[in-house]
Amino acid sequence: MANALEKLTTKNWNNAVPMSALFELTFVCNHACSFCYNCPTGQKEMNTAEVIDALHKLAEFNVLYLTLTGGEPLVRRDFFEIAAEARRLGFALRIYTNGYLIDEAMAKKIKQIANPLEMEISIHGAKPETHDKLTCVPGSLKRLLAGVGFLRAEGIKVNLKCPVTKDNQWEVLDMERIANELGARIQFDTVITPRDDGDKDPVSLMSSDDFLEKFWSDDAYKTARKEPVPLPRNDAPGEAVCGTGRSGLAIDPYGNIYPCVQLRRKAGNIRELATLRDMWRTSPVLIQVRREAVEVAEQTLKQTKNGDQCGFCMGVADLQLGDPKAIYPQIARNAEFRARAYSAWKEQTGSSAEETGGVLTKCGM
Amino acid sequence: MDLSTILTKSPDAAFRTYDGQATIVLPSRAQVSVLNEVGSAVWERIDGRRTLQEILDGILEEFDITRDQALGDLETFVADLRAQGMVS
Repeated sequence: MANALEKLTTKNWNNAVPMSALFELTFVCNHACSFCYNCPTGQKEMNTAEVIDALHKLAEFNVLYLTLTGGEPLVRRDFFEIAAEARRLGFALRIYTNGYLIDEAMAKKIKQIANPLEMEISIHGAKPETHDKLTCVPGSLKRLLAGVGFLRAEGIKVNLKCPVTKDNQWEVLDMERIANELGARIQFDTVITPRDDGDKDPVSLMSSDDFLEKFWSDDAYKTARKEPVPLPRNDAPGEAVCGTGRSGLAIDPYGNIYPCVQLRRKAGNIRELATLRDMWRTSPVLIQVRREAVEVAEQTLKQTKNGDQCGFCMGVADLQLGDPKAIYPQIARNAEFRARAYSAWKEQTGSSAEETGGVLTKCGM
Repeated sequence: MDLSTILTKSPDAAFRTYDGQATIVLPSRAQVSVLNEVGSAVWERIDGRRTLQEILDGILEEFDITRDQALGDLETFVADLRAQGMVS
C-alpha cells in the first residue's frame, strides 16, 4: 500500500503540481569536460538581486526541492548569499557541483549556510588519468575525492554521478568501491546526451556493447546499476513518460524557464513574470510537452522494440533528432541490453517484473 | 503537556503545503514527512509566537473534534515533532 508521501507525489504528478526546480546559477565552470551539455550564449547572466527575486517566485510557486547547479555553482561569488536566502525561503536544497572547490572550510560553510539535503558531484573515472582527461583539469579527481571526504565529515550526504563513457566504463566497479569507502552513493548513467545546442559529438563517447552487456547482466554490477534486474516500465494509460513540465522545471542563468533541464524549449523568462502560476497553467510549450510525454508512453514506447526498457528522455530526442517523441540510437542500444538481461533472468528464475512489483524508475518522479 | 509552551519550527526544516498536507524535509533525516490535515493545521500554527493553548483553540475552531480528542492528538503530535527534531 502506498504511504502518504507516495500518494501525495502521485497526486501532484497527475495534476502537474511541480515539487522541484533546477536552477542553473551560471554557465561559468572551472572544468572543460569534453561531453558537457551546457552551451553558454554570451548573454548576461542574472545578478544576485535577480537570482534572489527568482527564488522568491519559486517559493511563492510552492516548489519544495531546489537544485542549485551550473556550470559550476560554487564559482559564483554570491553563492552563499543565494544559498542562505534559499534556505530562509524553506527550500530543501541539493547542490550539483564538480567538487573542485570544496576544501574543509568550504564544506563547513556549506553545512552551516546551505545545509543541503544532498550534494551531487560528477565523477568521471576512478583513476586521475581518466577523470582528469575528461575534465581537462589536472588534479581534479584528487580534489573531488578530498572534497567528498570533507563533506562526509560534516555529515552531508553525497551522491556521486557518473556518465559512463567508453573512456571510464571499465572503472565503474572501482568508482563504486571508492564511493563506498567515502560513504557516498554513486549513480551511473549509461546513456550519453548531446549538447544543448544539438551538437552530437558527446554521443560518440557512449560505452561499448561488451560493457553494456556486462553492466546490465553481470552480477558483479548488480549494486552499481542499482537494479538487481533491469525492470521494464509499466506506464498506466494516460500516464506521462517522465516529469518534464509536470513534476518540476528548470531555469538557466539568463532566467529562461524550461520544462526540465534536458528539454530546452523556452516556456518563459522568470525575470519577466510576476508569478509562475499563470505561465505554468497556460504556456503552450508546457501544455504541449505534457501531452507529448503521454504520447511517448502510450504510442512511441508501445510501438518500439524493447520500448518498455527505455528510460526515455524527450529532451535528448528533441536535441538529437528534432523530435521529442523519436527513439534515439543510444536509448535503443541501452534498452536492448536491458531487455536481454531481463529475459535471461526471467528464464533462469521463472519470475517476472509483475511478481517483484518493481518498475523502471521514471525521470522526475 | 504544558499548554503555555511556545514551539518554534527547526530552521533546518524545509517544508511546503500541498492540498492541505504539510510536507516536511529535514536534511539530517532520510525520510520526508507528510502530515494529515489536523497535523498540517498544527504545523502551520507553530510560529514561535503562539502557545500550544492557542494552537489547540485554533484546531477546535477549525475541526469538528472534541477537546479531549484534540488535546490527545496534539500531545502525541508535538512529541513526535520533537522526537524528529522538527520543532524545539
